[in-house]
Amino acid sequence: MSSSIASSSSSSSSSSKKEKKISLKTSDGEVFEVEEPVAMQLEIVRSFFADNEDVTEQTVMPLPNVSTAAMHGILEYCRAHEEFRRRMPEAAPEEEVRAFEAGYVDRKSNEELKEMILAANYLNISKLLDFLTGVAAKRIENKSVEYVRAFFGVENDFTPEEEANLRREYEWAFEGVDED
Amino acid sequence: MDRLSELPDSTVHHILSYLTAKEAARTSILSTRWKGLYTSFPVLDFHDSYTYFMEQDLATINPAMFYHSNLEKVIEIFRERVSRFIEFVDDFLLRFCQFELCMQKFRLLIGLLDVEGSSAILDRWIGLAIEKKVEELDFNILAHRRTLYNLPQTLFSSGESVTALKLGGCKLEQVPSDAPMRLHSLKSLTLKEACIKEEILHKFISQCPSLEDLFLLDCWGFRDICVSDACKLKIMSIRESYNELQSIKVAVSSLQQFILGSEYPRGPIVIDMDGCPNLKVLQLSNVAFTDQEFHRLISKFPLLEDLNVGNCDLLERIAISSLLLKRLSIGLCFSLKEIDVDTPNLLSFCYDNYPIPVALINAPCPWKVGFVTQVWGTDTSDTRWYLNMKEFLGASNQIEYLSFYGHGNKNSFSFDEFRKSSPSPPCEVGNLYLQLEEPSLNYAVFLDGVLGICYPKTLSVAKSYATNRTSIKWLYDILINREANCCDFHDIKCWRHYLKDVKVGSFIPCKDKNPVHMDNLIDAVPELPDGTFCFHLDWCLPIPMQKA
Repeated sequence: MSSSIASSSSSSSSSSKKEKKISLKTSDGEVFEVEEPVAMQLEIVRSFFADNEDVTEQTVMPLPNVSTAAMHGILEYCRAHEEFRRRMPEAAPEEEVRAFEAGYVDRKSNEELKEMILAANYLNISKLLDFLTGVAAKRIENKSVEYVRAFFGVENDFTPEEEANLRREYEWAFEGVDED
Repeated sequence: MDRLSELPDSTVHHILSYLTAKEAARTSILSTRWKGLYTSFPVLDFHDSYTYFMEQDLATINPAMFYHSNLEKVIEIFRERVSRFIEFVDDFLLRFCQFELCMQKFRLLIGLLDVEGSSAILDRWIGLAIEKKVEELDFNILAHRRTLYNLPQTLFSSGESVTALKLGGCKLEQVPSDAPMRLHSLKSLTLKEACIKEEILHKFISQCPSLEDLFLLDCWGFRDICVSDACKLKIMSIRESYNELQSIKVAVSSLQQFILGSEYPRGPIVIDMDGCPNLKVLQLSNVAFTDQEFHRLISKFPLLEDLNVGNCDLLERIAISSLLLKRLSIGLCFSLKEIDVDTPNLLSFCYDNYPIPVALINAPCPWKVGFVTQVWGTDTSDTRWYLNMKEFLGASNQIEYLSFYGHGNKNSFSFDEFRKSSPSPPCEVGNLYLQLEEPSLNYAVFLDGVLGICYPKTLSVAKSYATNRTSIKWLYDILINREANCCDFHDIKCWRHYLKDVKVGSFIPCKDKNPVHMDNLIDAVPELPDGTFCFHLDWCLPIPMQKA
């Protein structure tokens, strides 16, 4: 009797500890224990658990296309947004969200950004993908064709004639551009 | 191989959608794959290409200006360039339509000399867009008001996919008269400089069940608007320039924002918004209200958070009492004599007017206040005027911004009389904005009066073409070479005794707003363009004069 009271009181005081966790395994074998509401922002995870009735809390979901480094970045973003949502369920505190996102992305190199876009696309987190594609666009704004090629890791497979023809065809888009 | 080249097409399109049309197009020369990606990019925006084809000189010209002229040469060039542009758009669209893709956006800007002759091709483009399930359609056609492009019926009878429709320089006449409209997904409708008949406007409102935003900007063709069966409508914004509107009746409980404005002062209008109890934002400009009509209207909105009233010339008295109001702005209502505002939770208060009103204001938030001190060139400001101003400002606990346009033709200010009548300390102001005039005794008197009312942390003065180049230097000298050998035997002294330091701050040009910082700014005046000078003023008031 007394033990049941003790356990119920401890569960209410540490309800966050008892929160359901979901285990996700990255491509390099690391297992992340993620709070359920955060993990459910990953559409691929949500549908995996919704569609498979035989999965249990012990199930470790493999995510072979996501590296540990990308996973850290993704979880940082999703946890912050879960926190915003928890604090203000009606409408996110826009200024805070913007400040967080600006700081968050400042710390990411182009390589990290690209890695995260791939991961966000694979995990199907539309909010994060929206945000990251916008950041990628900002980073190639007003940059030369060579720079953009390098950014996306694109190899130029045009012959010089073909490229010259294309530049003529798209003359309207190259007008007034100083290529460096 | 870089893994980013593994990105699916949709993600690349997503990135392209954040770029300008020009920049998106430039990615087509990255590689063959990217060329293909650009061809299938579902956002078709022809604003940049129109500018290119029309070239600098004709890109912003509305051919309406050729209507009564004999500029044959220019008209010929215009016609030629437009026809090359039409060919370009046509090819572009056809290429996109080869793909099994939905069109996200089709944005077109085009100037038309011969609207009738071009209708067929525009109709075809709209047809293609509808076929490709276009979501956003934005057509801005520059043409004469009398020869507007008449939008095809297909748009209204088959545009189920359209969520946002923005139409400029068009006519909406060919709407199916008996069949219902099928714009089931339409959320946002913007008509600009368009002609729409009353019954068609009502058809839009009652037959587009998803409509949330309605913008009618400088449109004509309707006199009475009546909205009652639009269950999702949130924003309704009407800006008139033809002033045909005679009555508006809105009864929509979802409505949150209502904006009504006119370019010019207009005749009476009947506004009945009794059925909009959830309205949060109300903006009115150039509406000929009587006090009674105005108060009756705002009494219908118990949840109002944002109220903006401007250029309402009939208003003489405004009384507002609200616990929910967050933003209040009253501007250029020149007959206003009395305001009574009790809004304890206000976050910002703007007041921009000509006479100093009799005021009772409870608005504990930052104030932005502007006064036109010279109207019709005959005004004088005497000590009484400065006393009234001080009293008005005294109701505030935080004046962020205070501006005076003009400075009165004949200023007379007696500091002795002023301190006798109002021994309280001047109020602190974040930024005081003045227009700079030619050096004159009158302006010096004005400055004495203004600095008797308040002590600003920053003093901004506008330099304009009318300003003598020596004016800034003259003003600077007044501030720097102040001689505090007056005010003996008085506890309250004039500003000269309390101003501790003056620093030349920055210069902000009118054009780009980027502050210029440089040494010897004052000496550089002749070379500087029009703009605003800032001086930082450091004050030191004796203890008993500082506000607790």
